[in-house]
This record gives sequence, C-alpha cells and structure tokens, in this order.
Amino acid sequence: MKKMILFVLTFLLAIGLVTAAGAKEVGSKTSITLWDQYYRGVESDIMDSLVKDFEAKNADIQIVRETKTLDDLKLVLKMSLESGTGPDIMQVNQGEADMGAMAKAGLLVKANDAAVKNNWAARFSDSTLKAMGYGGDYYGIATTAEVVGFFYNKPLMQKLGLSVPKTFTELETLLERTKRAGYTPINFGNLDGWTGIHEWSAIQHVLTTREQLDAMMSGKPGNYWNSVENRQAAEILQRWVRSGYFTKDFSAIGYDDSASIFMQGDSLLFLTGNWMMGELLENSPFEVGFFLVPANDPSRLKAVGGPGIPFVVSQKSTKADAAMKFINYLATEEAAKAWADNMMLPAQSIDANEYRDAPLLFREILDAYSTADKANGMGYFIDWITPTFYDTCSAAVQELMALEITPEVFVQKLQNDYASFTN
Amino acid sequence: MKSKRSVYDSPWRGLLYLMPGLITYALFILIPVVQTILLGMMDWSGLGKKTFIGFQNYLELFSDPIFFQSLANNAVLVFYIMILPTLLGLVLASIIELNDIAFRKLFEVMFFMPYILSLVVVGVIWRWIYNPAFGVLNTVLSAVGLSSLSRAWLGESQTALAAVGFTGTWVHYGFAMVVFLAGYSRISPSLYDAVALDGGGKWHEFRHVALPSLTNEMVVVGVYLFINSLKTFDLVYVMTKGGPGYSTNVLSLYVFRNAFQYNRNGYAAALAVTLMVIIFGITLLVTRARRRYEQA
Repeated sequence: MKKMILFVLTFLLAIGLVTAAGAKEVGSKTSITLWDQYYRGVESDIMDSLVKDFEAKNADIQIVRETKTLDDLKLVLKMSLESGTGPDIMQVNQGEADMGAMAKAGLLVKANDAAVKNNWAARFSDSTLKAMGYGGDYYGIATTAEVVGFFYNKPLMQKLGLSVPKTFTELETLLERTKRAGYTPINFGNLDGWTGIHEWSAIQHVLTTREQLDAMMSGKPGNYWNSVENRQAAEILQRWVRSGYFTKDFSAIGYDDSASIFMQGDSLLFLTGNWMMGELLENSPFEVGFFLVPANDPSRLKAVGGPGIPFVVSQKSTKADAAMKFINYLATEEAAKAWADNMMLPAQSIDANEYRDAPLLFREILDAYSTADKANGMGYFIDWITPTFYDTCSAAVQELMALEITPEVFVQKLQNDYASFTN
Repeated sequence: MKSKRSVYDSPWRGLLYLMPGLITYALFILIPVVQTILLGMMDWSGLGKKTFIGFQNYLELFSDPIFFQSLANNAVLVFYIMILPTLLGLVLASIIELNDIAFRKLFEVMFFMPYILSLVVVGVIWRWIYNPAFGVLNTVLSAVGLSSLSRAWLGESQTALAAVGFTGTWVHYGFAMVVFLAGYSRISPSLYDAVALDGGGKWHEFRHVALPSLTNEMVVVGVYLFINSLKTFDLVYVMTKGGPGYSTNVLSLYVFRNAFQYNRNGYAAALAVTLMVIIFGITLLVTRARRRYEQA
C-alpha cells in the first residue's frame, strides 16, 4: 500500500514539474484569447494563417483561437464578458442589439486613439470605418466586406440585346424589355423575409443622399425614415410588383430555392450579396456577371452592404495593448490580401487587376466594391439600426410587396420602430 | 439492548427518497419558473442592472398589437393542432378498432410515423410541398386541372397560417390515434356483445360504448395537444418565421424574439408568464369540467 502511495505521489510530482516547465514557456509570452465566427473551411484556414503570421511577427504574443457559429457567439458573449470570463478579442455584430448594448454597458475598448495612431482612415473609406463602429466611436476592424448588387445571366443579357445599365432609368427600361421578351426580370424569393429588405433598401440607397442615409442610421432622434425618398423607393417596389418584374409567387419562395431557380436560366437578374458568388461559380450552367444598382444621380450611388463583423477588444481584458496590436494587424494590406487571395471580399478596396487569374465574376465584384467604396458609397445593412428593425422591416416589406399596405404606411412603420428606440 | 437509530428509521426518510427528484425538479423547473416570474417585473437588456418596474411589462403587453395577433394565431392553431387531430385520431382509431382491418399494424405505424419525426424536418419537407415553383401541392393541383386553386401557400397572409396549421394536424393526428387505440383496448368485448344483442350496429358500438369509455383519453389528448398548440415554435420558425407580415407569428416565437433578438428579457419573461397562465388556467378548467362530468 505504501509503495502504491509513493508511486502516485511521485507520478503527480512528475506531472507537476512537466506542466510547470510548460507554463514557464507559455508564461514568457502574453497569451490572448480570440473568439471568432470564421468556422467554415477556407475562412477558418485564412484566420489560422493570419494568426500564425501575426505570432511570427510578434514573438512575445500568443493567440489562442476559438471558433464559434455566429449564433453561439451571440449567445455566450454578453454573459461571459460581463462575468469577466470572456475572450480578449471577439467579433461583435454592429448595431444596437450587440455592439450598441455592449458599448453602452462599457464592455468594449474604444479604439479611437488606435485609429488615429495607425491611420486607419488611409486604409478604409469613411463610410466603411463608420459602419464598423458605434455612436461615432471606433471599436475595431472588420477584415471582410459584403456588397449587395445584381448578379446577371450573361448569355440571356446578350440574347435580349441588352447591356449593363448605367442609370436607374436604364435599369427600369431593361426590366421592362426583359418582361416583354417573356423572361422574369428579377429572380426573387421572399419567404425568409430578409431578402425583401435588400430589395427595398437597394432602391432606397440610390435615391437618398449620403447625409440622409447616415442620419437614418445614426441612432439619433428624428423623422428620418418617413422621408420622401424612402416613400418613393416603396412606390417603385410596388410598381415593379404590379408590372410582374419579380418571380411568380415570390412571397412563398425561400432564398436558397430562389438561387436554384435563378440557375435554371429563365430570369435575368438576382439581387443579392457577394456571398452568393461561390455557389454561382460552382453550380451555374451559364456565365454570371455582377453590377451595382445604378443611380440616376451619380453622387447618390450607394450600395447596400458594408464591412463584415468587426473584431473588438474586451474592456475586461488585462492584455488590451497586445489585443489591439492584433486588431491593427488585421487592418494591414497584407491581411486584406490574404482574404482576396482566397476569393473573399476584403473590407479594404483592392485593385481587381492584381487578380487577373481569378474568375471574371470575382473581379467584377472587387471592381464594384472598389467603385462604391472609393466614392464613399458603401451603405448599410439597414436591419440592425434597432434591435426590432429586422422584424419590423421584413414584415413591412412583405406586406408592401403583397400590396396590402401603401408606401406611406410602410415608411411610417419604419419610422415608428426607429422612434420607439431612439426617443 | 439499545438500538442505534439510523436514517432509515427517521421520519425524514420519505423526504430522503424524494431528494433526487426534488432537487432536479427545483433546479430545472421550479427555480427557473420563479426567476421568470420575477424577471417579468424587471426591465433588463441582458446586460447590466435589472430595474424593478412592477407590472409595467404586463401593462405594455395589453397594448401590444403583435401580442394580440400572436394570441389570435395561437387560437387558430388550437383548431389545427388540437381539435382536428383529436377528431381525426378518434375516427381513425374507431375505424381500425371496430372493423377487422387487414394490415392493421401497417396502418397504425404509417399514421403514427409523422409524430416521431423532428418538427424541423417536418417543416422543411412541408416547405417543399408548398413551394409554388416546384412544390408537390401546386403540381398536383395543376395536373388534375385545378391550377386555379394553386397559390403561394406560405407567402399569402390569407393561407399561410392554415398551411402551417395543417402541417401541425399532419404531425399530431397519429399521436391521438395511438392514445385512442390504447383506450379501446381497455373496453370489454362483452359491452359490444350487449350492443349486438340489442340489435345495434357499428355506429351504436361507437356512440354508446366507445365514446363514453374514451373520455379519459380525450382529456389527455385534448390537454396535451392544447399545450402543444400554444407552445408551437419549431414549425412556424422553420416554415415562415412568423410571416408574411405577422400573419403566422405565435407567442413562443414572440417570446424568443424579445429575449434573444430585441434584448427585452423582462418583456419576454412577462410574455412567457402570460402564456403559462393561459395554459395552466385552461388545463385546470378542462380537468375540473371532466371531474364534474364524471360525478354527474
């Protein structure tokens, strides 16, 4: 028995010595935890390579990376941050429900000084930077971006003798001619609700001025949402419904199904985000192109979209300086290129000419994003301005496109939602 | 000889046996319910301090049109998920039991099958069936010359709730049937013989023997499906997410949205408590009515 006890004690001592040695090794480095939602194959590989590269350049810092789905991340983040068990760096969705709530609770480190010191303004457009922060303050950096525009069926466009429209009037002519030729002008499915928000918002973006749009998304009290331009966008959308420009019975077709229907080749346009590129490149039997929703007034060219989910630093972190170093690394051009090399759209504008070997569709998306970004025309995903806006707006667009409510009622619903949160 | 008192002789012995169940119940039911009731009187975003606001959340709830629309939608679902499956289950069980049906087990398994499927899977399957572009329903309607009846089932506010509700009927009638079949197995064959001696047919067997004998099963099925119809979430979430507009929004979905999307945890708790009171109240009424019926 004594021998047994002696053996167990020796074994435990040995383990203690080994782990202590290991801890010393780790202890010489500053270890920071990172929670992100890039769990999918390629995205996760890119993040891993960025972490490795950062560690190679900063030998005193070690990053412990944990991936989670966005839903899981949202679920655990708030509670873990508050209890002090959260990560040092994490991805936090823009908008009132997430970044807004956390910023108000003082759980995030403001990055205004870091932004000035590291000249973020030189790398990101003003609109992109604004969209990554909250309430006029900077909190972090998003590495990727999303842009919503029209994917189009190139052979069909050619067959109908049409070309990419340069103005909104030209776009409406194109829709009318496509319909007359017996094809569906815009492939669309709105069963999931959010797709309808994009449809209305894309028109709204090219009718409003930059100042109007920024005011709507400012979170400041005011009658921004029941503007004439917003109402006009709703009128146009109803006119398109009445003219039969959308897929028949669109209200009962889900987003994924609508993508499959587009690939059947009977519709000309498909308004959605660049995230659909991979699937179209892989599965579409015809060549697909991409263009932004054009504006009649070039100064109003704005695209729905914006930066992805920003990486921010926790106020509870004891290693905030090291964490902010990593955020700055994510803002470098080489980090942006790591995404573009893998056909992901980086938040910084990248010259499409550098990617001559990439598929034409990717270059068209890079070009479109770059055009909007350089013109300070990257807009917003409007659904995050209040925690309830997504549901209010998706329900209201469904009613608008079912011709159950008037454009006046529609914009008033949006305004009421906005006012109930900001007043 | 003086005997040593052990815990087994103690009057607390019974409580000791109860402990594992009691602790589990307290941890996972009792404490969360009490917490939810308390939270219903707070204003809390999920972060920071909770502020006590009394019955403010409940007052707001009674002026919230989405709450009332969700409640009305739940009431419609009571028809599709409780009443219709109960009737269908009773009819099917009676047909199977009162007639010597060949392949009886096969029918029983077939009818019960939808009930054991995950509701998410059911939702996805029925979304395909209702799909206006390539769904089975519209394709069949067109094939039999009824294309004028085909429509965007889940996309129109006039049909969406019924379409979701019918899916609920499809899921639950098998459960009702199985419970009624179990009830039938308790009925003594001599009662049917008595009906036959009096010259009664199948209808009389059903009306005067089966129906009165199955009241317990009816209460069980009714209460269980009533609760299910009020806490419907999965089907609506997968099939329509409450749309178009709010035409298929239900209370559980509204609770979920307030708690996890709108950061209105106090309001969500007040909604959940209201739902609990409705379920509890109606269940109590039904069981009391049954007791009175039995005593009469």
